[in-house]
Amino acid sequence: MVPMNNSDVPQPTKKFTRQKSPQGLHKKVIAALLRPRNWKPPGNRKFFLDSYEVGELCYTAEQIFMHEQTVLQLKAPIKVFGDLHGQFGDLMRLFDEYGFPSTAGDITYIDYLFLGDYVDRGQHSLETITLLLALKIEYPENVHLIRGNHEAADINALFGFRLECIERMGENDGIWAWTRFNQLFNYLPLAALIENKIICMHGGIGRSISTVEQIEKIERPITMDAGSLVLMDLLWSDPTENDSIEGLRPNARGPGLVTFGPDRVTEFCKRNKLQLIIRAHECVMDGFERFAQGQLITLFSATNYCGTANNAGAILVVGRGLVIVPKLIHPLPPPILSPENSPEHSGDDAWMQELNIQRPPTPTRGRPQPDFDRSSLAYI
Amino acid sequence: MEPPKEQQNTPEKSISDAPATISSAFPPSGCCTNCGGPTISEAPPPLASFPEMSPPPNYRPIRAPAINLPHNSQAIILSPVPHAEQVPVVSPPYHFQSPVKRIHSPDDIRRFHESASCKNFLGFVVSLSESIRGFKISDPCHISPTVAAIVSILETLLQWIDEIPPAQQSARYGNVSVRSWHERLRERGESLILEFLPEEFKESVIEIVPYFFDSFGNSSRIDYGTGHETNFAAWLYCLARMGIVKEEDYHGLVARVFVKYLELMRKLQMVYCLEPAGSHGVWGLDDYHFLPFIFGSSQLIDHKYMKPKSIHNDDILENFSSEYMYLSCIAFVKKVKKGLFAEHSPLLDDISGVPNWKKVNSGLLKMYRVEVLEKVPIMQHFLFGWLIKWEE
Repeated sequence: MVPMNNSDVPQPTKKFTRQKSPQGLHKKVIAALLRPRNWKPPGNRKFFLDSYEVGELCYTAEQIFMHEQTVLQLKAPIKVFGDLHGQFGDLMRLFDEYGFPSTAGDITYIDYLFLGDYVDRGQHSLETITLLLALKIEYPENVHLIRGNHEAADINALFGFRLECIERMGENDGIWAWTRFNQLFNYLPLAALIENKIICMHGGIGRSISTVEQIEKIERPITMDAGSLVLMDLLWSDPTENDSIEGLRPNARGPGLVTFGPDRVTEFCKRNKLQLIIRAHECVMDGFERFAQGQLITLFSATNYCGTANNAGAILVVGRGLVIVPKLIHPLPPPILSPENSPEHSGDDAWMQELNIQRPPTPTRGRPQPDFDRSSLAYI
Repeated sequence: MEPPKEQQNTPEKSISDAPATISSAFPPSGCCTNCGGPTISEAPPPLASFPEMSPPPNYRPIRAPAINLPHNSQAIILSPVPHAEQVPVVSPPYHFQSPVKRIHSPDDIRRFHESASCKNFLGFVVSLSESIRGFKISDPCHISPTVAAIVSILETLLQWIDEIPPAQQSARYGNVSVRSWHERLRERGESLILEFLPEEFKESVIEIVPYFFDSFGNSSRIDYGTGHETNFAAWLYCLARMGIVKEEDYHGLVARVFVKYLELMRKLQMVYCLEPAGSHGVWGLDDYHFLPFIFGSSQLIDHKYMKPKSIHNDDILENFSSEYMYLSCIAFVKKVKKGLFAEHSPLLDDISGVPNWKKVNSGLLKMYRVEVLEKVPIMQHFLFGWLIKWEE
């Protein structure tokens, strides 16, 4: 199967509007994507931004990130989000149920912090990352993004982001945009301190991190292969399997990675005068999970991981006085109409089920034949 | 860094070299009848307002090449389909050794791919695929005592699941009881294998048992993925290297041993809620498995009436899953995932549009080579000893 190259029909007027939009590009993105109640996966998979716009968005966001500290200094009240992994629908639901970052929402009263892993695995990594970048540009003091292990080229080349860029923007534009995003990711801050009492990072403290200063000293932009142990630990390490396993153990994710026990958490918090570590990186059934007698919380915001885990997604609302309140969304039940999803329909629906089976199948949503074939099918 | 007008470092040029914004459909010069302006817009000027934009990264990440990716569509289409290879049988003196991990970087992957070990291992997988071409699972096949012994070992492992019920636990995704199952495997696995190994090969346990132990997922992370499945294939490959299983056994290896392995893994996945290890989400073939799709598509080659699109027919899935691995995999996916098939498994859905199973099978073999055997996050865990050599 040969992918069609992305040859745009020339639009002489497009240059005109584009020249007007550099100031307003992020506003255009927010207007298009920040629809907590109404967002539906687009019928046409072609992404609504082209590579120029991606470049502009990345540039503007990059300027902001490069002037931020590696460890952000934040204040309560603030909402913290875990892994999203391209599940844009879940982001919309969290915004819809618990408030969204806009003057029409609650951004005037509360800040937002995202712990990384915006891309890969899900269907809408592009929407997720571009909306978050646009929000960062619009509210640079109130919306904060830190880096996850999937914000690295070697990982998101494999786990779907690169494929999504190619599928939805064409091979040339897609690879360019993917590369541009990854350059941007090298500038992302790596951790955040809330009121100097709660530290947030994507992975954990691993074996090499004993002080916050060590993280502050890391200079950006930084790539994952720069050899920084602190960076690897920060973005990849996990707590041990349960509170009874102390010290450091090897982490099965890969060589050189570790899991750290509750004793390490206690020591780190004591030495740095912290109350709590909030991190993400692992899927947990209730969307959030405690470790080390509550000194560490794992947060995960994507529901129904891989379509099978049936896990809830959660955010943490950190109030004034640093009271932590988790807020959950549960995985959506499947759409009622498809006969293949109603095996347990009760008796009184059985007559409907028969009709449903005889009806021609509902056309699949969001996946008509794209202009660019899915590049993995090139194998076949 | 400029938006794409030219090729970057990709080795093969893509189909059209035309800059993205100029269409050759328009006359080379012309004026708009409406406004008199030019009918062709020039390529937008380089983004002069962003002089500090960093050049494309020229570093090489540790785990995989980020720029010169093999994932260029032309390269994939033109790459050869892996072919079957005979497995050379070792002869004494034997030098079995405890296998170790060797792959840490993309360079290592490249070396591995140029090595005879890799080609032969892949050739073995292809041979297995060809051995079951056109056969139903229940079709009679030659079953040697060794094959029967392996099946009964897997049956034992299945029984352990019944003996080790999942723990009542509140939160965690993966059920911790699977760790007890793994413990039992470590305690008793070696002796189970020793039972069917011929006398002259009993020493090989030091080398082959680690592959076996790593075939059922990871006990600390409570997960399972295509890397673990590859370990199981590697274990079978080691047996072939020793001549304990021969070419006439390949059909039985797939139709009896691998089918039983799949049954065991399905049960482990369901009972203990194993996490998909390194899943690619909607961008991958399947969260857990790859080989049953290869073998399964081979089974259906030249089938009289079942085509790739038949997977959408629920009647066919229901009635033929027990005979055809591909169908049982699709049925499993439909059972455990919620929502429309095209949404949670778009790649499988796209494959159902391919005209025949032969194309599906050869495409999946190519894909296996690249998506599994060439990926550092998977192969960094692969073990090398004397049977599967790491070449210096």
